[in-house]
Amino acid sequence: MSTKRPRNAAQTRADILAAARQRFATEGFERTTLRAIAADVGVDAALVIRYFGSKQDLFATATEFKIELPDLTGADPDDIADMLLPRYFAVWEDDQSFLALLRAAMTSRIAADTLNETLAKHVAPTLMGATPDHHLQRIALTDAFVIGLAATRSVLANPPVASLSREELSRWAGPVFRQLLVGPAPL
Amino acid sequence: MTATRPRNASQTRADILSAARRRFGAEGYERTTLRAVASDVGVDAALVIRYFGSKQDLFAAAADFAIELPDLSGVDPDEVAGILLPRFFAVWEDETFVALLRAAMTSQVAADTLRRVFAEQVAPKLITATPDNPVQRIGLMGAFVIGLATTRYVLANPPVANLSRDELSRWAAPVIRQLLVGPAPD
Repeated sequence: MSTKRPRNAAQTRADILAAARQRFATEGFERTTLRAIAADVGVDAALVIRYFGSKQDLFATATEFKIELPDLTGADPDDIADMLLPRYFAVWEDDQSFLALLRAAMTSRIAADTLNETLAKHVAPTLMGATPDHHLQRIALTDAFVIGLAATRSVLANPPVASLSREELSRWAGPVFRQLLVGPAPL
Repeated sequence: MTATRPRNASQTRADILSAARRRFGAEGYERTTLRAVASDVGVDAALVIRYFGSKQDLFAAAADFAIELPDLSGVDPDEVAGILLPRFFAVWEDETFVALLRAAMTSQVAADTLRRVFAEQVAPKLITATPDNPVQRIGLMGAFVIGLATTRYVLANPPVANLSRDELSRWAAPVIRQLLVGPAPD
């Protein structure tokens, strides 16, 4: 059972990405080394470089998260939270890439820029289908709320928020999404 | 003018705390060493231990900050956000809070400290404003505040980081109002 067997390339790539997420999340971007990640997986650092390139390239691959957001053009404002939150839950709670990126972003400018750019590239265009004005501010404030929920629930694990069911959280968060995305802009 | 002179104990304590905040903020709790903090200040690690005790004690001292929130009982719901937001800005712009926030994302000890500050200093005051579901309302309000602080001061995401305090307050006020005193979900 403990006999070593040759691993295939796909498995090794997946192992390297998992080890990288773990390291970047707990040690941050700057302090993580390719050598340490390679050692976690039991391969040579040269192999990591061959598969993924530089540390920054590996970071980008390991923390790239997919978020599939529905088209919000013409959506009833009251439905927006219910349309978005299941997709957000999938990213925070079922995918380690986002949390690794968020954790690394707390102590690294490079990681923070990656997170900001990812939100601008993959989240903002969809949310823009819902916003009537002040698009960038509304979207970034909505992102801030989402980051706060994700951090409180999945990183800090603050019991009052962590113990809400997804459905309860969705009902509380609904009016906030509505206000930030489509509510009256401040004068 | 660069001649070294003996420092007094209270200045040294203050220097150690400020170095500790920088280290804990930049490197997180686990990776920060008393030796590194001591060397930033030019003292011996034994002195840091004598003044503050263990690393966990030093962290608690460095991350200890007071949030002064007013009693909100009887306050007009429309005024709650306007009363709270200036206090929140004062906390967010305090380097101790930002150090704690950064460390809390990678360390259980720091996360526990952040939760305790919130539970002991923030929640008891906010509870006086909530009409029902205090635990949920205050927890969600805390999540919003953490999200804003992270986005503005740590990630520095431009659309939020570039808002003036006044603009951010006007965007945040209806959310705070909704979470603390707005209609609860059915």
